[in-house]
Amino acid sequence: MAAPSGRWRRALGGGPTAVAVLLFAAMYAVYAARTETATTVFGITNLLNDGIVLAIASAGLTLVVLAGEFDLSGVAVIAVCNCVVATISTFGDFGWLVALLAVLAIGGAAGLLNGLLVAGLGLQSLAATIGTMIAAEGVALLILSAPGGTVADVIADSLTGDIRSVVPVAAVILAGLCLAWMVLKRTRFGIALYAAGTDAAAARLSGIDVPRTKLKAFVLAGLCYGAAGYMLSAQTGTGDPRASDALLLFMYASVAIGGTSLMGGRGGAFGSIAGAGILTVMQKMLFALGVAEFYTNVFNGVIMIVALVIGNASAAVAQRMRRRAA
Amino acid sequence: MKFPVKPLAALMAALGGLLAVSAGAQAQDKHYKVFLDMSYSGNIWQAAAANGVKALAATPPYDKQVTFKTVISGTDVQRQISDLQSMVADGADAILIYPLSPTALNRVIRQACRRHVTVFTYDSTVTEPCAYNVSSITARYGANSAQWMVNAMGGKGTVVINHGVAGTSVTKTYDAQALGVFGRYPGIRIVGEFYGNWNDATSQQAVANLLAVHPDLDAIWTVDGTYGSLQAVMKARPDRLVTIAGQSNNGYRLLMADKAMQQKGLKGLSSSSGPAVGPYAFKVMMEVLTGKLKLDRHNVEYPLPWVPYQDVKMCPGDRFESGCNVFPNGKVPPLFIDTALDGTLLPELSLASIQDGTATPGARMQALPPVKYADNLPDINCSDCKAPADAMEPNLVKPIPVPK
Repeated sequence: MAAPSGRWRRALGGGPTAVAVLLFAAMYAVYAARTETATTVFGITNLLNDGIVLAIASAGLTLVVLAGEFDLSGVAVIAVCNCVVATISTFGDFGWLVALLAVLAIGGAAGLLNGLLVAGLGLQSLAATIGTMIAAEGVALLILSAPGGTVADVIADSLTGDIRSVVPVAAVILAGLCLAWMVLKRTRFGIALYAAGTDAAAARLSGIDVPRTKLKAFVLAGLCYGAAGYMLSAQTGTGDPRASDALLLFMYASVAIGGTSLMGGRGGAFGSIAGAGILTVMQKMLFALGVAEFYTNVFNGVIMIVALVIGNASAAVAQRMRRRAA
Repeated sequence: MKFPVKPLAALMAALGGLLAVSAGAQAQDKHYKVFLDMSYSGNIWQAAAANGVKALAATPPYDKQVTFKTVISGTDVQRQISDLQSMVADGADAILIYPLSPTALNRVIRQACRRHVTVFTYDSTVTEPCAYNVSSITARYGANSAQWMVNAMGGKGTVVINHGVAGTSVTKTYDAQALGVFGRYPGIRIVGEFYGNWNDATSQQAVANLLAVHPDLDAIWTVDGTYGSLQAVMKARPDRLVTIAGQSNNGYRLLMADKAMQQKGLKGLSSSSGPAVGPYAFKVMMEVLTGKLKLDRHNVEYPLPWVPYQDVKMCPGDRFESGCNVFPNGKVPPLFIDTALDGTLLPELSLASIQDGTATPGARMQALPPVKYADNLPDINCSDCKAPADAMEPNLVKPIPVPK
């Protein structure tokens, strides 16, 4: 029995991200064991579509959190983008492209505004991004005063379907997101991000432009919110100006479960994507288990706390292993 | 993936035989798997509607015919989409939804319809044509309540508008209707407005603030949060009350009917959307599912509750019988919504049904009176459709002439 326990310890020592992935796998297994369609392409496509908006948005949020800041504007920016796509994407043959460029521009601009307020003016990020959030919520209502509008079929069908009935499009997008993160992490900016989040003063002394790094993090996060808004539009096929407060909490939960420290400097987008996966499959698993209605939320909460505790323990084990190796 | 062909074929044949046998048995005693998908929980209106549905699902003969399950999806539309997918995958025969958005669920509802699931919504609606909507949203609450207020005020006075939740179709529709009616009377002046979010505490706070600025306010128009709005007036101006229209909380109906309150100027209308629309939608859905009822159109109207202060009538028992419509103080909490019960369309339900979700002892499902089809309202219960020309006009109250 030495080998499996050793393997477990290694997995546990893999840090919170590995724990999040394991937890996701375990929950998926429970869901799949009780649901016939879970392992079909149809079922997997559905699952990925349900989770991809949260995954992209929390990956973006991770960058800001790594830099040691908060960003509450995400959901409202997603709502604005959703309304814009539902309003303009059906114009002409290239409406889908115009809408895509528009959401990226909106997301980028919102991120730039957040970045200038926080990194430029030195405002507290929590307060500044509440401001952008409220403003963006208002803008969403100006674009659509009630749910409505139409998203071009080409967006809705191509982004939520699968390629040759084998590979879900959402899987390709997720893979691209993971790849982008792996590259980004190794760039100068990636290293600066961790440094700025760990100890801003030390980072500055070692020649890192901390405000510039934070500004970039906000802009990249904004771009992710724009993309998430585009995916949300594809999935719902329509616009809804009301930002879901629940989604904002799920974004932070994904980041935390994925092992990114809310104090900054530790974690990564890969973990947040796994965290988003956990929160998405949790809904399916609780349904498959037939958990009685009012207990669903209790279970949601308990599983989140368990994930955090294991992740934390795992980080400690990893540290001890590193120390022993040294 | 490859399967050994022969054993598989044998298995299929055996399974086919088994299915044929069970189909014969099912013809006599068909069993249905039915889901209720709530959104919010912990809200009086939602809980009352869900309990009414649960009680009917436990009332004979449905207690034997229906496997019934409730799922709470919360306020995130993606979660609701996920839960609807799960219900379809789980082999649902019918799903009753409180939809979080009139349009965002259309794709997943279409998926369900393609797999022969009967999909109904209650109170809120969807524009997907394969779903059935059961709602009072087409019953012109905004126009009727505003006209009632104008008539009660003699066509002049100051009004505060308590909007519902910003960005919802209900709020947009009712607001447009009410503002249209008020706008026709130059003597009516709108001196303030706020989004009360259908919430009593929020409304009470906002009205209290507005009263400080407009101490001689004459009237408050609400969709919900009515009891809270009136409480604010009673605190700030106990001797001079207002004309007010809105929800149907028991405490509010009792105040409306109170002669002493009326002498201080209270003129109340109890209406707005009733939680009984949930159990009513369930009843219609089950008749469609069991083949007893065939609907030619997919939009059904639940009649708008309508109790002006003159019509409040005390109930001696636990049911709404012979036209009574309010319970005595102490029997239910003040915020209990009386329109959770409906003596005419839902005689199966009693007070215990709404409070605990249990069937009324001895009750059996009664046949449904003919349904009333609803008007089309674009972007609310249909897309690519036209609303009737008078969709924004009152149809329950006769407008008074504009005073000179």
